Amino acid sequence: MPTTTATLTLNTSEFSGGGSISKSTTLRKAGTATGIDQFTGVSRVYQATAANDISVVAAGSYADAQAGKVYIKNSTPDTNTAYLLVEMASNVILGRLYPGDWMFLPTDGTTDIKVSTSAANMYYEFGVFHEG
Amino acid sequence: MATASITLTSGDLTGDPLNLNSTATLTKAANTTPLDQFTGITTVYYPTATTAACIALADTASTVLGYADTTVAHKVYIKNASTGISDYVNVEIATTVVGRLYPGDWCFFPWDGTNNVDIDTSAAAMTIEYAVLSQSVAS
Repeated sequence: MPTTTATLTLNTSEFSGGGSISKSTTLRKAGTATGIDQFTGVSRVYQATAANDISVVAAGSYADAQAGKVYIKNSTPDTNTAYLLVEMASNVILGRLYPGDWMFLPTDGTTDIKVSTSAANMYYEFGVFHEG
Repeated sequence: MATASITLTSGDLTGDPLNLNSTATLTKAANTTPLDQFTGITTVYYPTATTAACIALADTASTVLGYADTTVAHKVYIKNASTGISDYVNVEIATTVVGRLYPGDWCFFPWDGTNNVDIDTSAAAMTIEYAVLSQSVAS
């Protein structure tokens, strides 16, 4: 089975008590020691005009009760105002990814994940690690 | 300025090695000013299975942990720091289940302060880490 590792390095040294932490996990199927074996690859998308509710994870395409993970990044250059609005299910807002921001979130195959672009000429990237 | 980096690697998931690196500088919404609030890394032990334990409270009226909302670039980190392979954490936004973190799994995501971030623990004797990096006032 494949071995895939996700590592977060969080540097918060300007805060009292802050510092640098590093957390690694091996992506495994739900409740097992078996590695996640399916991946969409990382897609890069150009969105010419602002658009709402672009599907990133369509829950109906995946089995439920999974240990999937989704990576999303706003890779729009030359601005700090054009954001990706990340939403779950029926427009339950999670948050905003401003240019350069990324996220790594579990997905269990029961909830749609969508993004909306706030402006024209935006780029974003996404990839889904899943169990099928 | 605080930064968050992700590295995704695999030598055998796809035909070619996966090696993705990305670093985000954690700034306030729509500008280059750093986020100015940090909860620290909090560790919580749950002796029993728990439902809807609040990680980040979407309540600007709160005098304890009221976060600014909407035009914000808050970030949330959550890790299932439990041992074993089967005990999971459901991550929820409002009442919507986002996904499961199995032991060792972590997540890092934006939060706009309009819906609570909660977790459910699937078993007794679980340990969770979390942190919130936030901006004190909306941009």
